[in-house]
Amino acid sequence: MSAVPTQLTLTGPSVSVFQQAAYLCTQGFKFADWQMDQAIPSYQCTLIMVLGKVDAADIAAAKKAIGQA
Amino acid sequence: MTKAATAAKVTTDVTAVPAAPEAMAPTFLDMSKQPRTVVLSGMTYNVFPQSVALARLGYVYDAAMPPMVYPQTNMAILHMTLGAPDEFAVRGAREAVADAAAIEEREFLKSVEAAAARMIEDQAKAARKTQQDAEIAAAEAALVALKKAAAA
Repeated sequence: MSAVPTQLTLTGPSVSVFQQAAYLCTQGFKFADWQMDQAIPSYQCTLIMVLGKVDAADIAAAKKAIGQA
Repeated sequence: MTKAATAAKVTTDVTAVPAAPEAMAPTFLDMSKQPRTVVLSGMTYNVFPQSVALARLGYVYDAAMPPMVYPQTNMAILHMTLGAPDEFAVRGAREAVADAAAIEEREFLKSVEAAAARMIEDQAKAARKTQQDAEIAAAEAALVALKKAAAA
């Protein structure tokens, strides 16, 4: 990846879209917005991701979730 | 967040998130101490950012347990599991990045072209005004000269 955009949109079936999102999270992106019509595994969803840091509170909550799992 | 029987100790210090996400990547030793699966549930605006933090700690969204999002209540349940995104997802994500970068570049070039066009137009307008001012000054000078000649 030569140029990194500040924002991108992922659209498609939720399972594959979230798999792509997981990779993008490791590349410095985070969620800016999400649009989903139904809670069905194969439904289409749209995730908007932007470059940015994760809030300290969210990291702490994630660590807590790991601790509780 | 759901509770499970065993508690894992997380040694990765990610309190201060570095600019480069690679810097907060857990070591293999860290990952061996982490639970294999973590379930996040709650309001979407809490769960989604937390899942990003987990993704940066080596988790991916569990393909066997699709994310459940309930727009009516704004609740979400995300099952995450330790692992790496599959090759297909990585390729798709890279394509999305490349597409978005191309769009941003096109928009940037378009804005630069528009700014350049505005600048050229402004310069042309200024040049026309300067020329008109000069013509008016010349005409006024000629008029003054004619009046003087008429008066003489």
